[in-house]
Amino acid sequence: MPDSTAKRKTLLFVDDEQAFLASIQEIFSRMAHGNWDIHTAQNHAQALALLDKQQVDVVVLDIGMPGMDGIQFLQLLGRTHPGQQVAMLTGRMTEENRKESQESGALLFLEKPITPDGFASVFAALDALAGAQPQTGFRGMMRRVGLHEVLQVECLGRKSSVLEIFTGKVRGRIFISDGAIVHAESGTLGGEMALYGLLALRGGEFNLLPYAEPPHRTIEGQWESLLMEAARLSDEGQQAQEPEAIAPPRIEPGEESVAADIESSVCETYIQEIVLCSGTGEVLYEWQSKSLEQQLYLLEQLEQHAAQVGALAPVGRFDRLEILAQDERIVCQVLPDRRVWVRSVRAKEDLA
Amino acid sequence: MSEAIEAFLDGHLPLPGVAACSVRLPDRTCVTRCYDAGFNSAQVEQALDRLSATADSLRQQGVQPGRLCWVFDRCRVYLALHRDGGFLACFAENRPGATNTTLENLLESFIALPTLATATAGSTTRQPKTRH
Repeated sequence: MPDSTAKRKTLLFVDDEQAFLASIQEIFSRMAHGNWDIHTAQNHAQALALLDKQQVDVVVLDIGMPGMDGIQFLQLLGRTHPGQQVAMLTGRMTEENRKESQESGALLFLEKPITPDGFASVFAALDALAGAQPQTGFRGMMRRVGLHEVLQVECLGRKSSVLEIFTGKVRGRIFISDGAIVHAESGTLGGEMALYGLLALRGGEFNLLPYAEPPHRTIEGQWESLLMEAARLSDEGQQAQEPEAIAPPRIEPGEESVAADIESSVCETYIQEIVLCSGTGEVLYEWQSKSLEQQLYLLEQLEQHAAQVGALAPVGRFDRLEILAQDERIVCQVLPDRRVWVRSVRAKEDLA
Repeated sequence: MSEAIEAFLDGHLPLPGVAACSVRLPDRTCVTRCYDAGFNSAQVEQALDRLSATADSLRQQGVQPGRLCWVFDRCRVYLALHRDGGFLACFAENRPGATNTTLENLLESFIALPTLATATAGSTTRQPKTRH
């Protein structure tokens, strides 16, 4: 009899073995006491068709399937259904499969059960995962956007976060605290060396995680200077796929940096809108933009007005406009290679 | 009543690091003070046209800015908007990380003025008083 107080959970098992799916359906239905809706699919096409029709708490994938194996399907789901919780259930418990599954976004890597205890153990894990509260925040894809842009958005918004980066061979983390890059690590490297190595990667995946204090704070200085130095290293052709291949950074004494700014007190910042464009105004990324066309128009106008002011008075090169309205703050940056619009709500007013 | 604005500016200026200040009243009258040889009133007032155009564009987007800050390499231009429609612009040297509390007081005091009167036409300029 179903437990009326328990949240009903929906699971989709994908496996090419019909007999195994039948066993799963029978055994887990009994264990769930009617609180699980169990769906099955024998291939990825059936699974995708079901996912398009229905929300599923957890997709459970076998790895060894013909045509498209479970890991490939997991990677496909990461693109077609970002945020979907996926667990792997396989008889191929190799370290390679575990690593690849986890790097592709699987939350559990479980062995196919053959004993009653094994089924109970797998059931408990899947039941807990299906009942877990979804992680707050967004998970999605940012195409044609580099780590520089991601870091810039985080720093401009004075956010605190951990940017986790991974490729097939490299895994690293960049720690951002109140808009400042305070630590980076990659393999055995730490500090600026690791940061420049990670920023030199040509491609990969990243996760933006809630901030956790790093073991050590190894990086000081303004984020703009750090990103400029990383760009300079890249320009000099010293970038490589592995951080170990990056030459030690050369810090020029007295090198000018354009500082971030609005003097601030410590306070919470909630990003409301983000627009990132190329220097020519092509939209590379936008998030929650309410009036994209108007924002693009304003950025274009701002560039013109700033150039005119620069021609009238000895003010130098324009960097950005900071706007403090009653309950929000907007930063509009216009540089030759990019235009940025970030609107945030702050707990305190602090424009100086 | 640009005299009142002149008195207001003279009560706060000059300030360290501030090269020029200008108030535009709702009738477009300007009261300008320049303290650096690189700035003159005509430049500053023309620049104000461009800065205010950006503020107008923001309003058209539904953003009601209270304060704006243009950050350039060598200079920051602060703009405080008064509810009467006038505004105060200050051209200050760009010193990242530094907090200029006296400039902050000037901007906040301007915003807090109960009214900006609009009697006198033309522009009044005094320059250069001091150089920073």
